[in-house]
Amino acid sequence: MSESPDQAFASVVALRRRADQLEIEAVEQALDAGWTWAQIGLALGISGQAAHKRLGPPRARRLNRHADKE
Amino acid sequence: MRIARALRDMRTMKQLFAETEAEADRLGDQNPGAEHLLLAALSLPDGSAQRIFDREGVSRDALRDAIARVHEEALTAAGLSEPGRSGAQALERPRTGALRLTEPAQAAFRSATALAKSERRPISGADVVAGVAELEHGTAARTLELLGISRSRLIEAARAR
Repeated sequence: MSESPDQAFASVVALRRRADQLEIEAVEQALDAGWTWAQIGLALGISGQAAHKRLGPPRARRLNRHADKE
Repeated sequence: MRIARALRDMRTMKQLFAETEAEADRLGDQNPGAEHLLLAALSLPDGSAQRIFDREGVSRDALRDAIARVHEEALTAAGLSEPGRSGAQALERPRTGALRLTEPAQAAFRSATALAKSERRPISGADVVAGVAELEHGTAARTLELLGISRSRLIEAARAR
């Protein structure tokens, strides 16, 4: 890399954020498609429990919101 | 007197941290960092942080936009440009458990509380601005640079208020 360390680290931070966001979107899509947490964990290379712990809340929130509307 | 100050500090911190998390959510960030702490400082009712940024001609919304721009430019520099994708999606997750500020954000907050304590007054938004402005690297520093705001000028303004 020929850029400055500052620029390189900024890119690392931005890519990490992007990866986190892609992960959340992928999990939401998978859940909508009927995947289990065990399957999601397997796909991410972690346990289903770890996947649920790290990525579970958004779904719970969305379901609550849908329940509120009903 | 000391108890009154401690109580006021507790209220300020509660508001500051709640808003720091909300700003992280708005920007789609999992971890509340110094840049979110800075945005939150601008929302504090004492108005001192807001006044410093008013003098720089930068609103809270402009600061938030600049943070997003820093990340977008860094992605482009890394060769990842995504036409059609408009920034990060806001997170919708409920925050549970203790607040987990990033280490630089914790350092900025420690510095802010130390400044207020040294002057025997309640912590204010300006103290947080000074604490964040002391961070030499990272997203907050790059954002200030992008906006043409000198970190040393911010520290000076925060301490002179």
